[in-house]
Amino acid sequence: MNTQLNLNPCPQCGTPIPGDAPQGLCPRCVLARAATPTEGGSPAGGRLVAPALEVVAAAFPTLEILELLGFGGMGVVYKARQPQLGRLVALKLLPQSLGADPAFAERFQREARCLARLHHPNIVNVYEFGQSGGFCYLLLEYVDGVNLRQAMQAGRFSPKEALAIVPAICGALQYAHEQGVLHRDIKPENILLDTQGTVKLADFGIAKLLREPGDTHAELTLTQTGSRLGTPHYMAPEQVENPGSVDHRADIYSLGVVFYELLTGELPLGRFAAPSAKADLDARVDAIVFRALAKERELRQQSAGEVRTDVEGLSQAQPPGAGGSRAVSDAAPNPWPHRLFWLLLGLVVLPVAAVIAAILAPILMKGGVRSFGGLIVALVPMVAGAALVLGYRQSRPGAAQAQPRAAWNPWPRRVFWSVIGLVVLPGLLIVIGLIVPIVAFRQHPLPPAIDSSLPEAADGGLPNPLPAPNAKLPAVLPAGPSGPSPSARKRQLAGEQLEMLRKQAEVGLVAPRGQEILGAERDLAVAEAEVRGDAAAVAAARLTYANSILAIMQRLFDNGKVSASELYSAKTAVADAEIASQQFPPAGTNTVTPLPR
Amino acid sequence: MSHPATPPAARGGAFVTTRWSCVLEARGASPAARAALGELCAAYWSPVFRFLCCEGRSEDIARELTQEFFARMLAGDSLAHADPAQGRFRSYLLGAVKHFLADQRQREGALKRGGGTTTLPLPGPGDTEVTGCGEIADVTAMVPDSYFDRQWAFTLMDRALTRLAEEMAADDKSTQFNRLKPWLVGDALALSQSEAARELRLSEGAVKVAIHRLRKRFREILREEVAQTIPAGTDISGELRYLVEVLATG
Ligand SMILES: [Zn+2]
Repeated sequence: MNTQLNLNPCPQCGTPIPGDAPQGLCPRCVLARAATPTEGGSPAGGRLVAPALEVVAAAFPTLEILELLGFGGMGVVYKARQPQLGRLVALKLLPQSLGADPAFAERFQREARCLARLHHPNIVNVYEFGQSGGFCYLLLEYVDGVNLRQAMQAGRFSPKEALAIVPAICGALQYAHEQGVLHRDIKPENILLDTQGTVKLADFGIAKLLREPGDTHAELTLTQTGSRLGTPHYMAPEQVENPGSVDHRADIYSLGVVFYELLTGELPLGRFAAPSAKADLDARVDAIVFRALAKERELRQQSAGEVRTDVEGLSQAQPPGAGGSRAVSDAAPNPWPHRLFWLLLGLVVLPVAAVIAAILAPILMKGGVRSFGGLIVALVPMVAGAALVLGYRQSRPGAAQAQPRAAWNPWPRRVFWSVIGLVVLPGLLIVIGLIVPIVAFRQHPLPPAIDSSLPEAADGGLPNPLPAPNAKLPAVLPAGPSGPSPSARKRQLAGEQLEMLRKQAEVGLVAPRGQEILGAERDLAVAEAEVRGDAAAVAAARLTYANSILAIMQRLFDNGKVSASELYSAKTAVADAEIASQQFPPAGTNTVTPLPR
Repeated sequence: MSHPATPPAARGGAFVTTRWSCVLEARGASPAARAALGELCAAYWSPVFRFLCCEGRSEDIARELTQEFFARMLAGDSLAHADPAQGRFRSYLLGAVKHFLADQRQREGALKRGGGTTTLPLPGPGDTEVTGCGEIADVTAMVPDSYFDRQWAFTLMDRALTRLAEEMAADDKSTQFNRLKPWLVGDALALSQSEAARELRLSEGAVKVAIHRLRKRFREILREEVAQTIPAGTDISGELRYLVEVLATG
């Protein structure tokens, strides 16, 4: 009756939890965990003995010594209170025998002065330092929290948590490095996490203080006290081989080890696996971690700031699957509304883009600017589609939270890209599609005689790309040449225009035998005839042009591209040109028609 | 069940006389020792009751027997020859229960035969097994010692959890305790800390801190509870390890 079994298996060990298990928790796992000795609370090797509270209280009469916090950073740490300031502090005592050594005491003063100058939100503040009651001590900011080792034991870090913590560590390191201070002993035990989730780096430079090359006394003392001198797994290769040569890049290596451990729960030992093989991660994280772990420091990121930029860059472009930091996810709105937003936008924007394309296409296709019209028809929906995909992806659930604790808000950026994609790009294309034909027509204006009958072109508005069929050609040309110099200039301009259009035709901007080129040829022939004062040649050139246009229009009509009335206009133009040319003897025609092709 | 305030032995590192060592030192004779024994018996009533149940008695009869057992134990002077240097309350209690049962059988048998009754004295705490009585061994062979020890471990865990819950409640953190206690089991990878963080309106970092503290405090309380049942100076970890083994094999 007592052994009736609950069907629930224990999430930890998998065995069924007995029905009478206290609070429904698996007794075998709960007791096994509680019976396992913890690290951190006891001195390494058990040889470092913490001075009794009374002894410490006697040495620091201005402090209320509250409790022993633990052993770490080569010393013993107590929780204490400064009654005058009403604040909690952490009192770190170095082994007493060290304080007795004058050389060490002097170095301690020098180094501690440097540490006390570091003020950064992610660095544990040094309030005070000195010697008292035979102890070298540091009075530190009290951090109400745990170190990363303890936090990892409380539960594996999710990738997004790890990716949020690393930039903060980088910020602290970059700051300290700029102040000329190396940490030299970065490891999970020295990285604190307070109840607000703020990361604080502790024990800056303590390693150096206690490990001055050549100081055998300090080394000996620490070895005797059982303090771990180095944490080899976190030390850069050069730090082990040649401690005197280390620079800030050794800290970057150690940071890489911590980063790897946060992501995978393991140390990067031997031929270690890529982080993305161990956790649900963006594969680009691998590159960042591997780079920080390069054996050659020249191959690592060259500054902590660079690591930070790399990590923050991850979440900006292509966020990893899991969400992001608390800092942003608190502020980030629920991504679902955005999905709806993009969906609606897609439903609205795509049809609008299609309508714009449908309106513009015939207008533009009518002329010789078919290529631009086609481009717009193709590109407007394409660009709109691309913008939608971009926007939709950025608003994926989880994507918004993937930002690390970066200062910027992802929202404006998304808006920015959406505006670019949805408004600016299509708008730009439409404008280009409109401007290019205008410019093209301006560069080869129609002859003045015809211009006068084409008010749109003269206005500078949208030029009618089909001037000839619509133009009512004057039955009679203006009498005589209007003077040698304007005609000559006109001929020169017409020649230049034809030249330019042929070049454009080579790169496909205009059709090789399209209306623009035919028109320019006509203009040149007319201008030449005018220079000669040959009215018959002018009329013949216009007739030739009108015939060419009619041929084109006929083909377009056959293909259903132009209406019957447009074809009719072309036919009328030919008839008008024929009437005009009949006023001259047919002999003149052969001087004009053979134009260079 | 009362939970007298326990000095924070683990935190201060100061020596504290535990209940069982108090009982042993006074050979159960002083008023303080009697009070301590009373508290211990109240605390570990359940393993005895379950042990008696497991022998096939109804709960009512088992309850009556348990009452009688503790009444006799608290009235007697069985601890007069106790050796303070050895013996755990757990072993003592099991030995006493077995002896009580044997005696019970004997008396029942004597009554059936119409003879008089004699009460066997309960064994001293050093006597971890009751020897020289084959009849007794047969009776208790039905239920293995490990069954009693398992129930003991459950009770120990329950006491520690209850105390922790009370402490948390005093800090207005009952919700937090109930939400985070699954992490006392282990890393429990299937459980989402971010979900717990959302529900408790804490940051994920704060949840990690809270879990760490919960485990730390549970460990402290559990060790304090174990310390109450073993002679002063005995290895607390050793007793815990034994209980973990019993649970793992059971
Ligand atoms: Zn389990």
